[in-house]
Amino acid sequence: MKRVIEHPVLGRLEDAKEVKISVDGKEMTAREGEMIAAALFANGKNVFRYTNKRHEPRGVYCGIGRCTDCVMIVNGVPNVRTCVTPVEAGMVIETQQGIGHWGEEGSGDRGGEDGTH
Amino acid sequence: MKGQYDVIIIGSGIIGLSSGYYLSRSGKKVLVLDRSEFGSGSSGACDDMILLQSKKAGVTLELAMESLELYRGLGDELGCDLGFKQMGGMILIENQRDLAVMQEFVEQQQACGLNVDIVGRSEMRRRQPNINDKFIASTYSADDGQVDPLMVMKGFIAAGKELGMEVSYQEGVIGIDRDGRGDWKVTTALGVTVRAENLVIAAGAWSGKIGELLDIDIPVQPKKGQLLITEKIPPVGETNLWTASYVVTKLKPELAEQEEPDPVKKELGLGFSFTRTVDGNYLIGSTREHVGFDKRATFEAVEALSNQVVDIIPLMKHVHIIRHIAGFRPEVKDGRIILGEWPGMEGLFVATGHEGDGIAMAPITGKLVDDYVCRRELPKKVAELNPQRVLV
Amino acid sequence: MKMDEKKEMKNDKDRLICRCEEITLGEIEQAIDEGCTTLNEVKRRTRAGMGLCQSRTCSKQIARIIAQKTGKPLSEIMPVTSRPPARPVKIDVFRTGESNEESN
Repeated sequence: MKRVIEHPVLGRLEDAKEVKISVDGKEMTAREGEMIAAALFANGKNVFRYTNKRHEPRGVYCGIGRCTDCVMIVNGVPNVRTCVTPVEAGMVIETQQGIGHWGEEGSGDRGGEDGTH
Repeated sequence: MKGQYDVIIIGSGIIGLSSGYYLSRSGKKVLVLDRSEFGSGSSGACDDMILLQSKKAGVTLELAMESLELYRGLGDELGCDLGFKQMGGMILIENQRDLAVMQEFVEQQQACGLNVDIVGRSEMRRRQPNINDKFIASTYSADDGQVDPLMVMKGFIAAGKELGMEVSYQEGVIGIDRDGRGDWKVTTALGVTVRAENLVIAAGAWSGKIGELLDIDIPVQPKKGQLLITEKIPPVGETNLWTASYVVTKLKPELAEQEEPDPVKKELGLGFSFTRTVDGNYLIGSTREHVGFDKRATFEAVEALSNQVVDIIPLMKHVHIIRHIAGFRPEVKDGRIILGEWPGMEGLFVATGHEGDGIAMAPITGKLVDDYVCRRELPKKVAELNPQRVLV
Repeated sequence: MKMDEKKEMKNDKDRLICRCEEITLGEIEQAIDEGCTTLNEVKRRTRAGMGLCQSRTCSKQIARIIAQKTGKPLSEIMPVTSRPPARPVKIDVFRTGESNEESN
């Protein structure tokens, strides 16, 4: 998937600064200020998570921050709606498996749980 | 005769449905009436606890322990999953005064046969590594458990219906009389008349309103509780959690009132409860408010509950709330349920006033209602729950 | 399973209605068969609508399913009880006073 550079109604995409983000451990390039979902599409990634019960892939559904299909783990916090969350330089983004796990920002020692981190 | 039953139960919450199931199991023809939808009352707006540790030693704790035992086998008996788990529970203790109160409390519970202990800092932190450093000790009971109240009600309905029970929603009761034969004659909001030899009032916080139809005073008041529901997250620590002040405010409200300097917290009757549902959402509670039947989720409460949970478990600040609910505990002044036949009204039984223990006590209450209605001999200890004591 | 792969739906009843809690058409119809006539009741019996989006995506579909199965006019099917927050909100947002900057 690529970006729309020339839109019939919205016109030409303005220049923007490049930022680097990490997605499942791989570095990707994004445009400053764009939504995480847009950056992922532009980089060819359209599966954002796997569901809790049936482990089925999900990506963008509503695209307006309402349905929560597009959620991923962002900087250690699960259930972040990527279609309405802008990228930041150095952001760490992970495909969310089920209810996700907690990384650096979200926790100290989580002791006694299922050890998903 | 059509419209003729052995028992009509008013209220289709967990208590009414439990009673209906056990009575159907005894061969009674039962109709359960409810003025609203499935789960619309307190049974659908509560947490999921079978918490033994908060019960006073005596008949309440003993019955709660028996109820837990019933829950153990209930899934198999009803033929369905009830979301029953025993994650254990810990009551966190912050200061020496609370420690002294809890030590006394725990001793009384141990004497009753409850498997509970006070544990020191290091064991407490081993089981709960994420809590604030300020806690000096806690209780620990492996027995504290939980169920999913909606699944339990669903199970009672399905099993009860197989035994002939009828449940009618959106059909409240607007009139109760005796008919010529001495049966109870109940008029419903749909204009239908149904009759039964026995009537059971299990209308929770609304039992007083049913009592008015009979000119009796069933002294149950709504005690509002607000809860925050989080997104599903992995378990935080090993057990469900409360703080000693939760138990203290429940058992010795005078103590709590003196101590609470913050007027907002005092008005909200703030206490801490932190429990994980079988699906993985956390229920963060709670308040104890006397505001009649005002069911609104208030901003004061979400602020206070958020402050409280982050103070006790700092990492919770990153977790999302997905819903903020409120429900009404049916409160009786002396803190015990009202269970038994109403004095002077043969065939009228009351089973209500469970306050925050309705889910825990549902199986044993249903069983006792069944015993009462079927005129079986009852254990002596339940006499102190009899309606006689609340007569004006 | 990749997004490009087509998954065979065994039958229409396996179609997901509540995407968040992964509740199928079959499960919802069963709840209605068992007596549910309102959105709140279907939600309480199946968990449809209890997920992250709090029934925003599925409730209109479930209302239509109830209308189709029971004959109840769509206009008489009340929405699910509305409760805050309007979107998932971090607990931190509701806090007042000093924020806890420590990593624990």
